[in-house]
Amino acid sequence: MITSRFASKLLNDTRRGIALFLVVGMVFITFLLFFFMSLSTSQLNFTAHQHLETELATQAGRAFADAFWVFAKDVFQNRKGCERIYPPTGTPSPLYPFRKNELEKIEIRITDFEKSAEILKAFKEIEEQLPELARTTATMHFKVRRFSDSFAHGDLCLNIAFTLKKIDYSFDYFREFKLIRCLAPVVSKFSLFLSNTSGGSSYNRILKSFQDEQGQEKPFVVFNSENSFVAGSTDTWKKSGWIYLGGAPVTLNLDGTHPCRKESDSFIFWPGLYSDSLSQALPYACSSYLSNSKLRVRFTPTGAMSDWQSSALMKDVLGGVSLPFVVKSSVIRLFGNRDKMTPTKVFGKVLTSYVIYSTMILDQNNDSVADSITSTQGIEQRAIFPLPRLGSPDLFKPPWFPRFVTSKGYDLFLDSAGVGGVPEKMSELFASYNGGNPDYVAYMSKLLRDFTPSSGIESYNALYDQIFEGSSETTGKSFPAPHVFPQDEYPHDGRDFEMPLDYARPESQFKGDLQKFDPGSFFADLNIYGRTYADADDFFANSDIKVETDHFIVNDPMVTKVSGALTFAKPFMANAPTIIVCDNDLTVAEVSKSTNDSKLTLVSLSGNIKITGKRLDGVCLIAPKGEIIWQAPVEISGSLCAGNIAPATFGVGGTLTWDKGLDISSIETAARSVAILIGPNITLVRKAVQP
Amino acid sequence: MTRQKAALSMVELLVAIAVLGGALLPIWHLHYQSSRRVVIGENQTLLKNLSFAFSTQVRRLDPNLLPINRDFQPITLNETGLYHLGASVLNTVTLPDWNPATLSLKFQIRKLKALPRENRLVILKITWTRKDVGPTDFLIPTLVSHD
Repeated sequence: MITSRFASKLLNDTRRGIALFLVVGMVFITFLLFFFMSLSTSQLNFTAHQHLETELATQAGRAFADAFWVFAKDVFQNRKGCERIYPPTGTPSPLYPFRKNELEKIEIRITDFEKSAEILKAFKEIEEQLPELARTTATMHFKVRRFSDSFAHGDLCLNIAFTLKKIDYSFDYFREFKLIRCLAPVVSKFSLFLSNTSGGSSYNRILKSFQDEQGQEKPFVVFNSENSFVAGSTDTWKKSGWIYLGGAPVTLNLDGTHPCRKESDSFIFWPGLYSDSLSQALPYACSSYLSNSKLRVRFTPTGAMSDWQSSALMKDVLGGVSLPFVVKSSVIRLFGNRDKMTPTKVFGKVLTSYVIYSTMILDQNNDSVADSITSTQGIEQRAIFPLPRLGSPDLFKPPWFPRFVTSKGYDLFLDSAGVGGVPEKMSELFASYNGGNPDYVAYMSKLLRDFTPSSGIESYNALYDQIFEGSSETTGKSFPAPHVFPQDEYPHDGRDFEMPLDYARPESQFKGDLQKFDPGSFFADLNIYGRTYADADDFFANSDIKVETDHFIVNDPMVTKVSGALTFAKPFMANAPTIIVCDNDLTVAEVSKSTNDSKLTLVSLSGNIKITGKRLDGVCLIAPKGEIIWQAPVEISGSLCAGNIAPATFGVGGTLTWDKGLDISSIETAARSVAILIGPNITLVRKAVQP
Repeated sequence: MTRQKAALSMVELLVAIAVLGGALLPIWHLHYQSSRRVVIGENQTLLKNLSFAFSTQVRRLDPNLLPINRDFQPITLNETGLYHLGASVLNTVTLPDWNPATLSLKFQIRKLKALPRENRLVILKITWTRKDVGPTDFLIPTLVSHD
């Protein structure tokens, strides 16, 4: 009985114990569940909090980044203000040539900016709006994905670091970039680059007499620098725009009309042809005394004019021959005009033509000025005796021919009896036509074609020599002048052409044959473009070009291609480096001067470029397969490159002044010729570091 | 017949209730805390969404059309149901809904004088009033420029 009760009690106690254990266990497990749930919500709360803090930091960082981009774009637009990429004058830019390693070494900090104080001030203004935001820094570098000689492409990485609520943040904001040299290769260095000229004498179209102001057509004057040449600076050509007139021979007659006339370009013209007074300052060459006489010969290069054909006196000077090729002068004036001579180097088989007008003078006092003489009729005059050109030795028959007579009929040998310094016979002056000492050929009037080709005097480049000849105090004047360029550059046919990278570095940026060089090849590479457009409508609707009431304006660097034709009916103003290329014809009204010396390059890849306005400033027009056309006199500051420009177009008149801002061989320009195009400012953050 | 003894004595019952109560109290506390944290987390996410939505849309506005104001202005709905930042009708943004009892949104528009281009600095101020810590301000700056 006792055992049974004990067993029953033990069973009850066990049941109670188990029940108690289960209850306590259940409570404990429930506690654990809620505990872990609490832990999870705590973690969730922490994560949400972190997200919020990061979002606030990201937006603050983005505000700093946007402020920084404004300053960076300012630099990209003006290509100055950050010496790290656009160094001061005389230092090469690390941006060009495009090299991945070199570009990725560039690290731009706020202190590299000319406006660093303004950037810091802007950052400070943002920091002041947010408590506990401080110590903001910004660093930018290039990450290059692809590059070639023409472009570099990749990401601009802007790192913004700051402290917000005692936590350090660092964000990388990315924008796509393209680096493009915004000046056309090779041709930008040329004032005028024509791949295929009309050749021959086709440009000699201006017909006028010595006294005429203007001919039927007007000259188109090319100034190869903004200022006139400086005497003694024989390397002027290096800093000037060059000329290329294709592979075919072309002859440009110099203008020989009166130097006071509007269109006279003849910087080697001497007005002694009609006038009997010659100033010592005029650039003529004068021989020593002939034999034992007081006679000497002045050489007076004289250009084309109708008088060579219409005047008997002039015909006599040329030996009675009428020669059409010195009657009409060229519609292109390659070295500026009399008021502003801008000599440069000319490439292509470019020749010139004029007459070497020789006059013998009596100069008893050895001052190179003709003395006064009085004829038997009592007419006082200068003792100036033209030496006529004789085309063959048969014509040289002293004492009857040639005759040396002044314009007023005074015969040197018949009328000079008793005049000191004048020999009795011609043979005492000229022993023979050719081969004697002195001989007549050396002194007589001549055409340039009378000289041997090896002399190079027919080459247009010989005029460069002539301009500088005698321009310094230490040298006298002579004709022909000694060569400044190497002997094989008279003429320089352009086949062995080399353009230096810049005059501070030894490398070349181009070496080859200009006759094979295609100015359009650079623009055929689609990689260089920031954007391309389906047609002109697409371009005007969707590009960054601003269409204002009276102007088209570009304020950020633009390198773009438009399919089809393109017309800029209103004046264009490029306030940032701009290249606009179209496939077909391109029409441009005017180009206004940029506010920051930016240049505009307009290209028609396979069509013509038509200029409808009167003035284009800071523009490079390129129509590699077509023509450039204007129908009224136009003033262009910049560079022209075309397959051809018709002689009749040049004959409309106008001026072209090469813009030194296009000089890709100049280190000053080269450093600023690289445009940095950047992509849209979308938020692209790579890292958010919270150390 | 032997009378059957009760399952738990009074003492045991009281002890059991005390133990159970002692165990459930922290469980309730944990539950309360978790619920509160979820609400806070939801608000923080809403704050983040408001910040992102506001900045992204404001950045696309024309800085020339945004009026500069000295003090923070409340954001108000216009007749088209969009939040208006004053002046031009184009200065509107769309924002997620929020509970005005806990969140209030204001904005201020300034100009950074040091920047060389036209710009506006738009600052969104979100005031979040919590029972435990009281009102807390969140400031979100957005720079608007022609870019």
